[in-house]
Amino acid sequence: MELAQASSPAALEARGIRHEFAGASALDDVSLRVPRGQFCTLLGPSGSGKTTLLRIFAGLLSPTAGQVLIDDTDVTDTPVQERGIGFVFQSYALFPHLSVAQNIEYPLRLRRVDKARRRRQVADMLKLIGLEGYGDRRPGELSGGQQQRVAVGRALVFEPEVLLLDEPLGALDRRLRQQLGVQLRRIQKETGTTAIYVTHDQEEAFLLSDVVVVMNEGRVRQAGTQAELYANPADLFVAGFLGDTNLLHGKVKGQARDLVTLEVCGTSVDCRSLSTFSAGAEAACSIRPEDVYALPVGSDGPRPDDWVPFGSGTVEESMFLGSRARLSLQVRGKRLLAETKSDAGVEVGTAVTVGWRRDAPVLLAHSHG
Amino acid sequence: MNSTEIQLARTEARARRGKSIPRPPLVLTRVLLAVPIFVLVAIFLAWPLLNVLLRSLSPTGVASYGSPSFDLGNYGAIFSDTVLRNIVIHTFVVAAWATAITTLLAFPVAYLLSRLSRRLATVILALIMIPFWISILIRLFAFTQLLGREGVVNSAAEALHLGGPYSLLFNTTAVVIGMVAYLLPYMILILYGGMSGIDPTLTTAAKTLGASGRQAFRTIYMPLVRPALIAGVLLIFVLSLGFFLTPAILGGATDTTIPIYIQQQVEVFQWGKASATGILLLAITVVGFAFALRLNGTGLLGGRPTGKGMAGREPLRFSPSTALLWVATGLVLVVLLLPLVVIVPTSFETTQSLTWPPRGFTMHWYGDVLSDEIWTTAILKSFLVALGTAILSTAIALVLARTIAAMRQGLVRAVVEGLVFAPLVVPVILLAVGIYDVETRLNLIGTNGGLIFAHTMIAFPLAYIVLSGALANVDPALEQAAWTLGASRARTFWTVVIPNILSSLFGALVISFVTSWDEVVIALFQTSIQKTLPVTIFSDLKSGVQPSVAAIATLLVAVVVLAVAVGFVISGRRHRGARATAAA
Ligand SMILES: Nc1ncnc2c1ncn2[C@@H]1O[C@H](COP(=O)(O)OP(=O)(O)OP(=O)(O)O)[C@@H](O)[C@H]1O
Ligand SMILES: [Mg+2]
Repeated sequence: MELAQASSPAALEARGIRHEFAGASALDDVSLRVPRGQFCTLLGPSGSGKTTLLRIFAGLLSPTAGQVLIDDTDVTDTPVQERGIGFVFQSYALFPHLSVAQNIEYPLRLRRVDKARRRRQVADMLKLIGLEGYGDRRPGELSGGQQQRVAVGRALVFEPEVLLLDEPLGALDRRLRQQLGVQLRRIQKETGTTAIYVTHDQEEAFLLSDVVVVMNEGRVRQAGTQAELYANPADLFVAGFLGDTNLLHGKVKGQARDLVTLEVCGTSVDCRSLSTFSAGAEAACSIRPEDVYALPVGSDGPRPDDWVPFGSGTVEESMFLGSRARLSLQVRGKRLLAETKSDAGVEVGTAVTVGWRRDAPVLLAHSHG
Repeated sequence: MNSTEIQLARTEARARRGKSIPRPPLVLTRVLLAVPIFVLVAIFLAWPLLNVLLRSLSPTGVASYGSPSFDLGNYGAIFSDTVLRNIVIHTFVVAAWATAITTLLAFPVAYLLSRLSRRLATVILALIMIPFWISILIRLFAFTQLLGREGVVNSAAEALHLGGPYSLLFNTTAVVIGMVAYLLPYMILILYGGMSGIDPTLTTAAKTLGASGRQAFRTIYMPLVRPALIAGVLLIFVLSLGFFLTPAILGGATDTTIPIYIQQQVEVFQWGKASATGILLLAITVVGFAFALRLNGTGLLGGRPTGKGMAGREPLRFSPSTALLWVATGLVLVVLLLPLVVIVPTSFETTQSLTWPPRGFTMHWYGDVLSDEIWTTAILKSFLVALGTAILSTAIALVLARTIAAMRQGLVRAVVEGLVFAPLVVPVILLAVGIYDVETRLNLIGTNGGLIFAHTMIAFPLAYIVLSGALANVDPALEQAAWTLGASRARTFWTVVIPNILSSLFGALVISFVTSWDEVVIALFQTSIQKTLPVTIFSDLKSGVQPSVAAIATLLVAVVVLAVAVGFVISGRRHRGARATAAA
């Protein structure tokens, strides 16, 4: 899966990685290129192999097959100590017998950095992570969020090429997660480090990343920017995993260039598609709720110029979300989700005409497995 | 930190990467470390037992490797030889009595503990465990003071005009009393472990269904404690069969048990029948342990119940039967603790023969002990051997704990771990004669080194229990974190693992030191001229008690109490630090 042109230097690359735990496959042919300085998120449900992939990058696990490259050097057989990667563990793994400053100093000592420089670098790092004055504390005397920042500081202080983070904010509450996530992003930018960040929280992935890699069942399903993934999900899994969506299943009637016509509930829906489908094949398309319009019968607006009607139906439920409302509609025997302004006056029971922007439907490849 | 610096550092790192320094693979290091341990265990544990087995199969009692004989005559003699048969029967009868009395006393105590508040239960348990820290020899000496013709019990009986003097010492009664006192803490711990996991609302539920108190106890509670009870009884019984010191010191001329018989025979080099009885003893012990483990899981070897289960939640209401529980607990505490209190005043008395209450006050015996060369050389020898044993045992235990922790869960691991505990199962008299035999061949007998190796065999499993527990508590992510930061495996071990198990390392040293410091049976065969301290005390006890023994006993108790107290303070401080760490 190419995230950038092959010519731009990749800080980290995976080629055909497979991994098996006692015969059970955890990773299946994973390939990935992460360009220098980027913040890349591995997003996927529990058990999809994110941690396994990260540990293979770090050298804590050896892949059954495939190669890992850091800076275009094959490091598949390089021991973890010599890979020069920073790793932030979910449990932080701060050394309980050392103070915060000593924890951060530890990798510098190993590299025989002289004392004066060590002190300066530790002080700089404490400042960068916003923990000046906390150097003498034991890790146990810090809050969860502070511990997390120490873990990041310790992993960054020896200026590794790549920073690997395994759900580093998983143990924290939502608000703190957002704050720290933004801070982490700032530190990563300031140090110019390439970061691979594991999470199963889609919101977090969208907030932080340059690129998002969606994984499921040991495979990379799709990689790209948040906007690309959201607007053009490659398959059913990605479409369903990233936010709510309407899925319409039907039969392919025909294809004209990148427009596939799908027969759904006795009507035709034109969908964007990059791949070719043969007529008669089963397929599905995804339409995001915010692209679906529900206009009270008789009223004419507000609606986009390239509006395509789908049918008429009724509003079954309405959920207040602040400035917008989420509607559940019954159209052509199907349930669809739509969004309107909450003051548009569309109440439960209202008869509506339902449609969407011409380019809203995306045809999905059926996911395997 | 500026960006040119960062770039520089990264360029350097890039240059380093990929050029990995060749190093011995991890497996090789592990094997290199395991080989000396394997050799030690083979020489000082496996070979001795094999030797005893070979001797038991030879009509002449000589282990010959050239032409090993397979003659079962020695085993036949266990049943045909009247003297030997009576010894075996006597051993079983005494063990049965000791087991029965121990169980009857331990059951109510354990039940009460399981129903008390956590705090109170911890205090009483701590009191019950105190004897664990005092040398068995000193406890036996204390019993001679309690039960003697002029001892505490008879003096009390006389003062209360209850008749007497009763002959309580140097007979089977004294042996059973001594054994019960030794076994009680074990039985209480096992039963308490089982009982504290039982939810008391179960019996309450049975009562709401119409069961009487007695019915609920019989039909609900007993079936739930039965595995722990049976396991405990089995374990206590096989332990009772292997007692050597208790019958040797508290028993009379007719109180010869299997272990005493073995010792007497080996001393006059009559190995045949002695070896056969020894192997029989071993077989019964192994079978008993195996059944006990199957019934009650590995919890038995760990010893300590991990925590207070739910049984503490339902408060115990006062009733006549509750009062009985308290009476039993009081009695047990007296049996366990009174002996320790008695020896202190005895050591200050002025007369040559020990009497109770002690007459006069003198420090004379302490002066005697500390200036007499027999005692000082014995103390020095014991100290050196214990120190050597502590260091060797802890090192072995550390390597084993690391190696076993790295093994994959499964049959191989279970077998290896089982073998680590094997020395705890073998009756110590058997180890003593077997090692004596082997070390005589190796010309190691009588040397400090030989004794250190022998003591290490019984001390390292205890150190292993302490260290494997501590290592399991060190999050593997800590080590992995150090690796990702660039630390080699060795460096990680010394700078991350060791500092985090420091207090347990200290605990392992103390436990193995004390094990060697108190050990009599193995040392008895090892030291003919230069004796260790416990052996010197043993000889004195056998040849008639002197107050100097009371003085030395008091000193020893003081040393152990001090060591344990220091240990508690040190580990307590660390634990408190750790607790603060965890709480924040
Ligand atoms: N040590 C192991 N032994 C055996 N199977 C393992 C091991 N570690 C992981 N697996 C299996 O490999 C698969 C991938 O696990 P992994 O931990 O990589 O998932 P993950 O995406 O990180 O999930 P989560 O979000 O829950 O952390 C899972 O099916 C898991 O059961
Ligand atoms: Mg994971």
